[in-house]
Formats: sequence, C-alpha cells, structure tokens
Amino acid sequence: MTHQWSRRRRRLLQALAAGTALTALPVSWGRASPSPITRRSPTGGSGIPAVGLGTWITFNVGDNQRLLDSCANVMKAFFDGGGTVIDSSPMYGSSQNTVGYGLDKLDARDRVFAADKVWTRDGDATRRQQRESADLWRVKQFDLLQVHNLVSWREHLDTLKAMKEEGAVGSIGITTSHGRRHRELEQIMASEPIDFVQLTYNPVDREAEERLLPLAREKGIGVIVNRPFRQGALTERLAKEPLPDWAADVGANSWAQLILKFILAHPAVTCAIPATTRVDHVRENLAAAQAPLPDDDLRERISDTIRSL
Amino acid sequence: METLFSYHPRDLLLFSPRVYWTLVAGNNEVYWPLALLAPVVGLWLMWTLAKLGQARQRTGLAVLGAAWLFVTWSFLWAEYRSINWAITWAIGPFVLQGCLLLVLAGTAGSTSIPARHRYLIAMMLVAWGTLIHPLGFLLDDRPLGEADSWLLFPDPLSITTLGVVLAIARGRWLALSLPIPLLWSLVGGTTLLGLGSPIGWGMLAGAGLALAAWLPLTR
Repeated sequence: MTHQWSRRRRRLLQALAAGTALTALPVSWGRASPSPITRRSPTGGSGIPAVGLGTWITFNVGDNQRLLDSCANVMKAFFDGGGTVIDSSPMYGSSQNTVGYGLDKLDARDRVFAADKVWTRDGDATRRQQRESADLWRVKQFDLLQVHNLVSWREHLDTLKAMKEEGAVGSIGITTSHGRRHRELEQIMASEPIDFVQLTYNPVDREAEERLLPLAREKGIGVIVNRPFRQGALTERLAKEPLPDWAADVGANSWAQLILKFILAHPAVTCAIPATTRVDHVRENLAAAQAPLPDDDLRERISDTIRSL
Repeated sequence: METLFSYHPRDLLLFSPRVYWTLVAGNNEVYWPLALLAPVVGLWLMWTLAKLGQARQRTGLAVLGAAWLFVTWSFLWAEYRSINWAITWAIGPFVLQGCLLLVLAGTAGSTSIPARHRYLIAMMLVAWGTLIHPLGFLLDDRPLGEADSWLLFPDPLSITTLGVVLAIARGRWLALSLPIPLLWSLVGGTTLLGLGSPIGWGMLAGAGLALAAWLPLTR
C-alpha cells in the first residue's frame, strides 16, 4: 500500500510528533545511561521502556534445559539493559512456562512488567485461565491482561474490567496481529475503557497509521507493537542490503534498529515487543530505544527505502 | 497488509526449527540405537512386501502398528505436545491407527501382489519413508543426530505406512487404514516446509501418490 501525504497533513503530523517528542522525552535524556527511553503508562505509575520482549515462537522451547537456560540468558540481558515489558500468551505453547523459569532463575519478579493474554473461546474461563497463566509465569498477578486476537472479546473484557476494579490486574487491553480485524478493533477502542491495544506496525505494515494509532492517541490508549520485524522475515530480507549512510543520523547501526526507531518515533506508540533468542539482539533492540528518533521526513524515507529493497 | 493467501507456512507454526530439531535429536539419544536399526528394519519391511505371504504380512503390520503406538507415546505425547498444543488432537487418531494396524495384523489373510502401478508406488513410499526421508538432514545442513527415522518419528512413519497398507490392505481395510497417515503426511509435510525443510515436498508428493494409487481401486 502506498502512502501519499498531503503537505498540510504532513505539517500537522510533524507538529504533533514534535509535541509528543517533548512529552515522551526519555528519563535518560542527556545522560550517558544506556537505559531505553520510557513512555507514559496509560494507567499512571512509572514509565514503560519503549522496547519490550515478545515470546512468540522464540520462548516455546518445551522442557529442554539447555534451551530454557538460553532463554533465561536472553531475559537477563533484557533486564540488565533496562527492559521490563515481557509479553506472552496461553497460545504460545510453553512460552509462559519459559518466562516463569527465567523469572525464577533470575529472581526478577519485581523487575518485570508482566503482560499476558486471555485466549479461549469459553467466555466464562477468563479467571481460570488467568490463574493458570499466573502459575506458569510464577507471578501473583499480571500488570497487563489482554484479550488475544479478539477471541470472545465481549465476555473476556467484561471480566477483565471487573478484575481491574478489584485490583486483580493492573491494566487491560486487546490484541490483534497481521493487520486483521482492524475495523472491529477500532470500534472496541472507541467504546470500551481499555488501557492498551496491541497491533502489528512496522515500515511495511502501516495500516494502523490511518485510524488506530490516531484513535489511540486521542483516547490515551497505550499501543504495544507486535511483529516489528514480521517475525524476522523483514530483517532476514534486509540482511544482505547495506545500511544507508543516513541511518547514522538517528544512531541506527543495523536494519533492526532502523525499523525499531521508525516504530518508536510514532507518537502513539508506547513500546515495541520484538522476540529473539539471542542476547546480542536483545541488546541491539534496547539500544534502538534511544534518542535521536527519526522525524516524519526520515520516517518516510525509512519506509520507502525498506519497501523498495 | 498481508492477506490469508500471503501467509507463509511458518506463520502457522508455534515453534522454531531450532526447537523442533532439538526435540528430534533428544529422542534419538534417548532411544538409541533405534535410529540406527530403523533403516535395517525398513529393508526387512520391503523384503516382506516383495515376498508377500500371510506370516510376513502379519509381522510387518504388527511392527508398523507397534511403531504408531510407540511414536504416539515417546514423541507426540512426551515431547512434541510440549511445544505444540495442537498435537493433543492428534493423539487419538494416532492410537486409533496403531490399533487398526494391529487388528489388521491379527486378521489379515494372504494377499497377492496388487496391481503393478499400485505396487510400485507402495514400494517407492516404503523406500522413501524408511531410507530417503531421514536423509533430509543433508538438505537442511543439520547434523546427523537430527535425522528423523520412521521407527521414532511420525513423518517418515506415515509415508512408510501409506506404502505398506497400499501393498497389503484391500477394500474396507484399506479405506480404514489410509486416511490417518494420509492426513498426517499433509500436516507433517506442511510443517516441514514451514520449518524450512524441503523434504516436506517429499511428504506432500507421497500423499499425492498414495491418493492416486488408492482412488482408482476403490471404485
């Protein structure tokens, strides 16, 4: 899909981006600290580091001790680098248990922003599944619970709202991916009191820019971005291409960092959650959440360049 | 944005190639030297098909039925299920297939060699499942320890089973014992392609050949 921006619209967005950039200035701005920039949480409290850790596929390692320890090493690098948000789901095979193993091994329960999902067609099973998931994570409760891929979302969301009232969960949300069911997601965002929405957004998949991201800003809904690298396909495809010289203008040393900076520069985005099995990639991802971030012109250039390769 | 038709098979997988082949390597270690015996037993199975006779047929079917039950327990239930919740749905059909083959082993009478084209396809499928499929590790640049042999893993077992039942079973028994390995060959082949393993094409082709050999004979 092509994106042609009118001059007026571009100016408006630039102004918005500039304004947001000020409000979203990192806690670490001006310091030598390598901590990632943080974004305001929709429910208040401390800021949320702009790069999190996804667990789709990468943390589904079964009971293999070597692979469990490898994932724990990834989590250690993530926490040491200032990351907090880890996202998983009952749908992700053994990923929840892998996260729980890592939290146990690293004694890191107080360092994690635990984001999980409800994924069952049984609309009455919200609390039961939440308890099972919390057991696997080895946590008492979640900071964020989301309805996964809009499955039985009405029933689950009603229960999640009640759980939030009771203090059984910090914040609630809803997720989609691959650009699916955006129209329905938009209706939910407009009518339901959710704190977060999770969706796919990257320099190639930009539909969310049209309605969902502006609506999230308007409603004060946090945005978690999944599939920033299209499950690795994007970075794999770009690996053989030289990084443009102008990437250095925003401090990007790799395609992955350039993509993440593109995403994080959107004023509506709270954090991106790339998944990885590699410690060096975790560090690379966290390092992308540093100023400077690209302005609108550079974002268009990033998108155009990646689309053309 | 992507449409349904633009999905890559890997988008449908819950796990990575690294994890899947690690499970395979782990099972090969646990049940060593079964992986080494598998091609030998495969050659014996081909010999039984070449010399069709009641006792040999029954023994071959019994070995095959036992292999289905063993693979269900040792791999699907004990290992694969931990990374793929959908495997829970496959447990019942796999047990059923094992039982079907054991019942067939107990009741099968002596059958003559089937029609030439069907017999050739049957032998090709058994050779593919027992001898060729495990060599897929060479195409993927994986270590030998990650070779999946028919006595231990469902993909080559399904292809081998297609060949054996095409050669031995007739009529209702053939119609009963073919669908599950046929279906698994499609599932397994697609999964292997999702894992980036081109040997998955062999499974899909095997399923197509088995179907082609079966359908004209059921009229």
